[in-house]
Amino acid sequence: MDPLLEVNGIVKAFETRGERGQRGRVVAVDGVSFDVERREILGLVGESGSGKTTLVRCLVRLVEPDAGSATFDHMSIFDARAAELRRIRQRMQLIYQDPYSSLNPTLSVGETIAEPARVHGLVRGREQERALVGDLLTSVGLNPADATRRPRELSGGQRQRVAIARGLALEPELLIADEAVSALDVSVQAQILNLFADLAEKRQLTMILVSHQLAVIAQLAHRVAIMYLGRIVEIGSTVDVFKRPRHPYTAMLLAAHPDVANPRRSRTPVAQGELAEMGEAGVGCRFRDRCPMAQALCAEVDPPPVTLQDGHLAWCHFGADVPEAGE
Amino acid sequence: MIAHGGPAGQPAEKARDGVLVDVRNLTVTFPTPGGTIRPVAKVSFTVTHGRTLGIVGESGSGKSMTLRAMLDLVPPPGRIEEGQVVFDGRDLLRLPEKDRRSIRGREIGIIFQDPMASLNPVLTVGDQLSELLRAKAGLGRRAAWARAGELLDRVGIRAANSRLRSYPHQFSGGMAQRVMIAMALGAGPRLLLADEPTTALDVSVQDQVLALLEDLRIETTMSMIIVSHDIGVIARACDDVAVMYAGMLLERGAVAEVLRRPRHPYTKMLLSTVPTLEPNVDRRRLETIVGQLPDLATLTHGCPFAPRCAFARAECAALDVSLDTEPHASACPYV
Amino acid sequence: MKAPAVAQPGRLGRSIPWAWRDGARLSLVIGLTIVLGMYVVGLVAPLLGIGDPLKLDYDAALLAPSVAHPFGTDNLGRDMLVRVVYGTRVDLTLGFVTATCSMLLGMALGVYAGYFGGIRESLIMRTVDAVLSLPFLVLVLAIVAAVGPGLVGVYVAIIAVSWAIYARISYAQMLVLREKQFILAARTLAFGDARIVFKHALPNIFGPNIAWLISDIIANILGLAILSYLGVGIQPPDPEWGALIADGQTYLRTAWWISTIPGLVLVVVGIGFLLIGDWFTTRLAGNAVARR
Repeated sequence: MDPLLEVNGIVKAFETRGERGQRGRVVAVDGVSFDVERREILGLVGESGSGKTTLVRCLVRLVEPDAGSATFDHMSIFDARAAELRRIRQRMQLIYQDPYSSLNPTLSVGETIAEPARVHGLVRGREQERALVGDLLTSVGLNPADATRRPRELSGGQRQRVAIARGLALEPELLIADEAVSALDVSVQAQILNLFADLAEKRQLTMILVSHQLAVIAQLAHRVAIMYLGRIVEIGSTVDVFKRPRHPYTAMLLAAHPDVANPRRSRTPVAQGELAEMGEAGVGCRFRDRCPMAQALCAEVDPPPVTLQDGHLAWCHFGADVPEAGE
Repeated sequence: MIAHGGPAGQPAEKARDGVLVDVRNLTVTFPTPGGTIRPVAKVSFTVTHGRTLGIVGESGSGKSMTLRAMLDLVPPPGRIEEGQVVFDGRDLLRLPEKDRRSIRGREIGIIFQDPMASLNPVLTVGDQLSELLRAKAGLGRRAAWARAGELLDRVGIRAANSRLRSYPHQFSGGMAQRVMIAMALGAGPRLLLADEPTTALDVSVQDQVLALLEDLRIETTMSMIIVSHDIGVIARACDDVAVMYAGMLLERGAVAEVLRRPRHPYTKMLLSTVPTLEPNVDRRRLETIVGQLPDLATLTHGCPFAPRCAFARAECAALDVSLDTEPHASACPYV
Repeated sequence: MKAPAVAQPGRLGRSIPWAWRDGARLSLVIGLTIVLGMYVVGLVAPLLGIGDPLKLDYDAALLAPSVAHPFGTDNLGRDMLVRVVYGTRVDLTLGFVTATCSMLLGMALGVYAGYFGGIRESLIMRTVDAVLSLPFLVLVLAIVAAVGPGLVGVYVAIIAVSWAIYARISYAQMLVLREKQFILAARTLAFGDARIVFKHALPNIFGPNIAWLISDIIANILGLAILSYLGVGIQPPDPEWGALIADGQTYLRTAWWISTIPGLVLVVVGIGFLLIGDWFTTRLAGNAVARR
């Protein structure tokens, strides 16, 4: 297979200052590796503190990682200098979460979309710009006449469509959506998810879909990677991972997710404990404090990846023993 | 205080059996440059003793404003145009402010979405809790502190007594929300109002908080009203559900009923747009509702959902929107 | 009969003239009328032929306000109205120019410091701290003492001191903006730094800067007035409000109009600017809310 994106061992830590002035170090991303095949949609799931946003920012170099490598179409992302980085960025776009702050309030919709194309030389002259803007607005389900409007006149869903149109202006091959639907109403979410599916098909896009909402991942992603406290704990096809999770955290997430079709009223929570404080990278499994299956081994040895099926891995000493849902 | 005067302090009518809260025709108006809008329009529902009602809706549905209106906390220039909120036989909206305030803290508890914004950052959690207990439950200093520790323990905070000396920012989101719940429970309320209580929390923590609420409800026979845009939360935590759209109540009934056999077109269509945990191997698209949520200022007569409704007909534009009288009630007479 | 779902907006909304529509707009209209009115009159004064501010007429000295001399005359017989009007040119021009130059300079430095960070940030912001920690007037006097009396010195001194607040305002705004998703988007779209700073950041930083600008204009005019009063600003016999006030000091009991009227004019102009500032900050706050 010839993956479009290959990520290897990314590490990113931040210095922190405690209340009494103590210096600390938080390892937001602790050695993450994965590949993304062409035209696939990879889901990246994690709750707060999982490191997924930091990881994505490293990939687009909004933040420089401390260690690790990543290649886009065999070109190194982290070694790329200005001109090459520009070229890579053109092919790899990011859609942000908050439709209310991801658009420049002083620019019109048309200008927001046209500017990247103009700057990168993909269009020349007013006519071409207008045509491009019109095309893109239509392809995201908006009216070309909206090009003259300002972001403040648009609803959250409409703004997100504009953000997507802007992301597509450079005709990228890889689209990373960072919680792109989390801030939207339910009915609007459905529209945007369908839009992503349509665009991915029509434009042969590869996508990384970052979300804490498992249902969104289930709807769109071919494969999914589950992150916890800076590491990937399980990865595999969506069907495999969701139907037969092999990491206790994945199982916990799936069980904790409210299911409208089968409402579960119970006084007993599925999850134990709270997210541990992210700290120095220690040894051992980071989930052990909350894991129902934890044993002494988990504190001493980093869990190795256990291959369960084709492409389905779980980082757990007891991955094969995770009970079926309902057992 | 309510816009139209009414005889203050007199009970509206004798409380109906088993009904703790009876909201009737609650209407809130709000002047805007584009005209006067009604974020809450003739909303009526009841909450029975010991049961939980969920109010679900998208942006602009009026669900949060309904909660505020119940407590007469509508921000100016909005005001309550009409309606009654009968709590235990007394209409809250027509009571003198003093009485209302005493009910608000003692018999009705409230928790909001962002615990960090609701807790005082410069006081310890113990101070805030015990101050509340002294004021509302009339406890003495020592007794209040002890009770505060008990409450923290009850809401699942480990090492409760030492955590009393912690400040809000030292708690994680889920823990802070538990502190909020402890504060709301302080004086032993009979009704708990929760406005998007888990929206800011991670899924696993959300599950814990909802389980806690369920546990408390069973133990104290407290009633709850939970407002959320997340249908899953309502499904997990509520007995009954009311569906709001553009300020109006469109469907109301038992949760299991409404979710499995929705009557109103909006509810039907809304439920079909929600993605499930079932992996989408066939690459199917989700059902969607055409159009967008309405701008309250441009609403015209009739059913607000008609422009987007797959079952709309000419009569919908002249419809007087109100729920029928079935136990599982819908505001749509045609579907 | 069913009541409409939405109350119809009052008819009054359509027949109220634009200027009176709401309190803030009224402020704008009155403020602009005062300020622009005075400035325009001052600028075209030579063309209007109202008189010569420097013309001496010992026979007409110390005359109280009358039809012939609406603001009276001073001890050298010069018509006060004419002198006040000519003084407008000096004062308002200085106000506008110094404030605008300070703002542009301050914004440039503040944004630069905020966007790039590092040593540039430290250098610029520590300088800002130093400038701001010293009293405005003391610094201005020091600079004027170095440069020498006269209008040029005043311009230089005021700008050299006023830019710092704009720098701080812009720096703070830039820190917030840096993390805004549309700025991050500009970076992932591989826009150059210059484009990000000028096209994306700056337009969003103007707001608070202009709010400050409006009150800064008045502060600067007052600064000039004080300096002229002290004798180190504009040099006699050129008219300027502060100088006029100084001239009339000895005659406060006998010819009160020489000091008082320029003082009142100063106050009225100040009110004009305050009203404009009021409108602006209301609009700024309104925009911030409407954004959601």
